[in-house]
Amino acid sequence: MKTKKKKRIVIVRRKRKVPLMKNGITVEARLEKLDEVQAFVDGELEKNDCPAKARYQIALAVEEIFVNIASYAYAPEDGTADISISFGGELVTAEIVFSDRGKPFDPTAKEDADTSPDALLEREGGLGILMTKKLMDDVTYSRVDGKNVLTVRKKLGS
Amino acid sequence: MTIKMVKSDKKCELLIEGRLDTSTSEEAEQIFMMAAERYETVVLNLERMDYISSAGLRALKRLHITMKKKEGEMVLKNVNRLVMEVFEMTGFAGLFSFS
Repeated sequence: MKTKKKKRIVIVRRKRKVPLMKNGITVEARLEKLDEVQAFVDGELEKNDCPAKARYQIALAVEEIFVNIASYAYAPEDGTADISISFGGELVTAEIVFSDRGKPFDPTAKEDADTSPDALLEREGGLGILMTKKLMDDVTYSRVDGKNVLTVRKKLGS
Repeated sequence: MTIKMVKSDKKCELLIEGRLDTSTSEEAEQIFMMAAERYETVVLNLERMDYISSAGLRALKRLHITMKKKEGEMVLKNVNRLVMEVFEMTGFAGLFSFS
């Protein structure tokens, strides 16, 4: 009996050590696909026991980034976007990577939007990336092999 | 998203339920503009609104501007914590009126 119990414990530990998979989807870069992208990312977060607040914050960042790709990356042509998610680190961190083959565009290059009341009334735009930067722990852009690659990281915490 | 309308003489209250985002903000804006035409004060009860993205913020901003132009007012009430954080990080907490 005792040995059986020990074996069971070992099996549980092994399961925990298995590295979490990186999962991804490819969708047409169109606004109609936003629900699909959000459902995919949220499903992965749920599987990894992501706390509610971080799920909400990541959902928001995903909307802002994907809407940007869908609206500008290929317009007026069509194209696709790849979205992948992986988890790692001691304080579990979600890493979400968006890539498209659209026009080179670094959303992180712009200065943060002015959020004073006057500026808010005068200007449109710039809020999506500002929100993304504030909601995520880390946002990085690179242009690799003709692709825009935007990587966001968020510690899942509590 | 659903929007329920409670009207009184010069004031109208809209109870927004669900998400104000890329897919719902256009419809919300049409309702906001209808309310803005008819009433001097539009109160948005956000008790049941659990998500707002920049598209939703734009819809609120347009209502705010429309109401100011006609010397009326847009007032937000019962804003939940997560939505308030979005207002704060984008500066809208300093622009909008809350009750």
